[in-house]
Amino acid sequence: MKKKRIVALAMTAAMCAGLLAGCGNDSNEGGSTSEDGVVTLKWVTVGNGMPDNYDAWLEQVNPYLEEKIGVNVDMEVVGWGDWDNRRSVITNSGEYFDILFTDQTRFSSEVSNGVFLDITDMLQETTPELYELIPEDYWKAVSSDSKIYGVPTMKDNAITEYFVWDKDIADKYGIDINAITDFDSLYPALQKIKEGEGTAPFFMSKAGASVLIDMNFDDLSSGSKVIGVKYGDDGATVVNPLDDPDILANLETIHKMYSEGLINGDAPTADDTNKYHMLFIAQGWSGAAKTTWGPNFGIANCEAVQFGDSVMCNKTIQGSINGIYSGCKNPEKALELLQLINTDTKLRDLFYFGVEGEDWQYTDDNKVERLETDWALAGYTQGNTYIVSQQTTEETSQWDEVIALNDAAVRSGLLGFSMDTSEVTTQLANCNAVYEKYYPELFTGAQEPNALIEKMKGELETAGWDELCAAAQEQVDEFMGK
Amino acid sequence: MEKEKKKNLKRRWNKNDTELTILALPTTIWYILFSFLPMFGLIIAFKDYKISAGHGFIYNVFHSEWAGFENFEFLIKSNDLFVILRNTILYNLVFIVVGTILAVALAMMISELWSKRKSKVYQTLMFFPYFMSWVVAAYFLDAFLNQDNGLINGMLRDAGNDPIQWYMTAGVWPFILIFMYLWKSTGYNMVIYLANISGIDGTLYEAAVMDGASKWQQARFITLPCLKNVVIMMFILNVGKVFYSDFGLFYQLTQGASGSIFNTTATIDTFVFNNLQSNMPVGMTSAATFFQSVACCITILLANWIVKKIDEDSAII
Amino acid sequence: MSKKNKNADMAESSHLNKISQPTNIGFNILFILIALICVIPVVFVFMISISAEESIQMNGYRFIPEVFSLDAYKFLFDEGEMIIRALGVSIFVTVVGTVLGVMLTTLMGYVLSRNTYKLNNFFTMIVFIPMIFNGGMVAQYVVNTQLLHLRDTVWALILPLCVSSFNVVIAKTFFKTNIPESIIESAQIDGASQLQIFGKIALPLAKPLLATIALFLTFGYWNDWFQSSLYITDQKLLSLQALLNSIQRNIEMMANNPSAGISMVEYMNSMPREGARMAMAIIIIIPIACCYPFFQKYFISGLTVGAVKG
Repeated sequence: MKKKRIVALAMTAAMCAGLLAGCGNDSNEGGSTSEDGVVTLKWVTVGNGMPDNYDAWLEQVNPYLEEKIGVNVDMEVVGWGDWDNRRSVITNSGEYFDILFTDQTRFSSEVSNGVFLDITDMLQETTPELYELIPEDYWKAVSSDSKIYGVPTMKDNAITEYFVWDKDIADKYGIDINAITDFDSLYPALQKIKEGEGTAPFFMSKAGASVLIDMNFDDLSSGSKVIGVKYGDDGATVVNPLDDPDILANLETIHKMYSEGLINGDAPTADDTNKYHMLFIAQGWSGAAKTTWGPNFGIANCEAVQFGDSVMCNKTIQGSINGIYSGCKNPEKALELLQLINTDTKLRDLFYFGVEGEDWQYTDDNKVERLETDWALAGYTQGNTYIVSQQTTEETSQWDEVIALNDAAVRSGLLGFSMDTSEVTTQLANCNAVYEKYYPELFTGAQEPNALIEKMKGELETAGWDELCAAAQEQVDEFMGK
Repeated sequence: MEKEKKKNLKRRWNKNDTELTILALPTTIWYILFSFLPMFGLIIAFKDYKISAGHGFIYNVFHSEWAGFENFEFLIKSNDLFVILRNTILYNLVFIVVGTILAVALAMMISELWSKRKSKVYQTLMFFPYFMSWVVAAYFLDAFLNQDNGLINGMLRDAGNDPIQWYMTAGVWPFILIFMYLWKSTGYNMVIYLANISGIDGTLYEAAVMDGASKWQQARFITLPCLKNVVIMMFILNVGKVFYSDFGLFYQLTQGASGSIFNTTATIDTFVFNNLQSNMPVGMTSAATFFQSVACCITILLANWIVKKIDEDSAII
Repeated sequence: MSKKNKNADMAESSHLNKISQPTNIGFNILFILIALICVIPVVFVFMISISAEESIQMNGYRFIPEVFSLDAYKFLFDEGEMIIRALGVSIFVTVVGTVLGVMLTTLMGYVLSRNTYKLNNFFTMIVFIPMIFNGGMVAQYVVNTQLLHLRDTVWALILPLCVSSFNVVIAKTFFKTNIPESIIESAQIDGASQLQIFGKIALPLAKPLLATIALFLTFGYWNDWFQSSLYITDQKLLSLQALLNSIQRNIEMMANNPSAGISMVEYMNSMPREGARMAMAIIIIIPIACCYPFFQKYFISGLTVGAVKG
């Protein structure tokens, strides 16, 4: 009577196969075109979830788009916390979309996975205006093998780091914050404050001073902090940033600060919460002290002083990219939409601020007055931020400063180079594991840096750092040889 | 028993079998749809998964190149494999042993309380932690352990001692994690034993009282033996999970399970989460899960086999 | 025996003997301690929810806030419509899912408990294999969205969770140990079908089991947010736990991504504050704690109820 069981098994298997065939179907439902030739494009992006007044917004946006370029949009706004999982299932499951927002954390792996369409030729043919608008360096940063895979967003594309101060506290102790532009000069100031206030003046989250690596090294778009090429190194030697004497010197200072209680004791585990801090490190631009940091961290008189240079490499430019799906049925239309949002102020404002008349309105001098501030779409993810209308609350456009910072930034010699990590995935993952394990205690000064770095290097060696470095160097040399 | 089964296989199909098959059908359909169909995803662990333009997942899976065991290398070759395996297994074993003893003991005690009303109140209160997410529990723990303004360090300072960096002190974490696990799960784990205690035939106790058995003797010779089956079943079920860990417990409470406390807090799941972030190929995450599944499969079969040797009826398969 | 007469409560449960008074007091003290350990964190969360935001910003979390404020609850009240809708989703999902799950679980459990059944081994495998192996998030997503079209429907929150092999095994073991073969055989001789035996004999005898499974499912559904994070885009379908979790994880994600810089900080501003999140955590606990006594009567009411007599 084994037969019965075999029959039952076979039936189950057949059912499975039948059902599988059902969902293995490649005919995705997306890319619909209505009778009058209007294409609906699905744009997947991140934000605060779907907005409540989404339908009202569509009623404003779609007619406008239809008139201009004959498309409609269908937005899918995924909440920040769901983003990692959701984008991974969407891209890997072959679910249909036209445009997907992406950034430096995943761009290169998505490109090598085949998620995005090569738009190099189409850019110049279909949307020359867009191609002209965005600087060539930016296009390089979103290329792989000289093929362009996405449209970068013009925003703060260089990174600049700041000491963000509560000015009132600094004044109380007679500290000239503008003279403090590195950790060494910061040290005596902190001691002075600590003596008076009794609490740790310098707030660090677990990321600590790990920006020191980003500020000094191009990570080759590998997503790793343990290999990099130093800015200004014309020979383009791949090294371990942890070997860098400058970084070590800084870490020693920071360790001193931590030991003396100048840095919050819980730094190795702390998050960047919206609590009041007297002083912390942040990335952005100085104007943000008034508009963002001050209000968010409860600092009445907030001021930011730059330390280090602004730097620009692939990673910093890739902070916001919109890519077109490799299976997109209307890639030209999708590109036209991306062009329009990068050039048309009216459309840009609709995406940035929400429903006109409900979330915001134009004033007589063409500024935007925000009526509600809880619009769920994230403005920086969409397109050119420079053409967003100035808000009534701003005296000057904050973007002027950003543009100046971008122009002044130190540029990596490896713009346009992104490392192909597919041969060394295991080594890369294991080296990253070593870094992940120790970085909070290293960069917040909780541990003595010399000994810890030695320990990390020992573990990196067994994790295959040498192979990783050799592979990177080989690719870099090839790139530089071109 | 074994003979009975064999006899069973030889006998002809009857009405009884048809009826039982019909009863099993709805659940079987559920299993096919939600468990067996997705299982083709296991293949990814052995593939270098790539997306072909415009094609669905299944097409992509079958058209990606075979990668052999490449995806597994990350885990197998890791320096930390020993530590994370040891932690995962040891914590689970402690959870199983201590958790079971505590839950059984408390269930027996709570069902003996004089006042049924009080015992209901206690039970309800013991469930509260189950509904607090680990994130919220982590806030609570931080209020005690925080370096600068935690309660414990505050007391140490008041007493003139040096504060302790709890989140960097490896030795205390096994105790904290075990305590927090018990805190959250005991109320929940008790339920199954309570249900079984209330299912025990009352006449057994009546007879015992006639014979002059003390309360302690009743517990030992009636309640415990009656719970034996369910305890063994729970044991096998839990052993089947020894290679998995409650991510929230190990990650949120320790605020990342890394650095100085890595050696006593990192488990397979926290390690995979910390290191295989979204820019790593999906195959590597699948490989890690596959590794856990196979390891669990072996342990559960082993446990079941041992139980079967001792007591045929208690085995689950 | 004299104690029996003194205590009416005891007379009801045909339990003839009790633990001694000192033991009873000792047990009570122990349980009071345990209950305190379990409740204090909830009190703590409650205290944060009524702290003024400024005092959280300045001092971190405290048991006794410097400044009290009901802002968090006012915030939730203002968002009342959203909260009530989420509560509605939670209740619907929990009730429907539990009913469905109990049915499917006990049916399978019952079938597996029948030793004489020919396909017993086959179905045991059907239940056992998924306990160990699963196809992973992406494959499940493909089946649920592309084959079953569950995306953005309430069924995506219900169906994938309604059976677990864990529960099926519990049901099987219960049926096997608590329902004597003799009863079933005699019913069969009387000409009852298996469905009748299941519905009229097995289920009524299995009340503690039903309560256990129902409880596990209820709590599982009530606590779940992961399904929601994968399948739900429509804000109207978010359950209470999903709502709280999405806020919580949004904040976490931003807090852990300082490199995203200022664009993130800006969005953090629009998130509900700590107090509001804690208030939501309180709101999640209350309804479920209220429904526990409903199950409880099957676990604790007289120790002999539900047992098989002879």
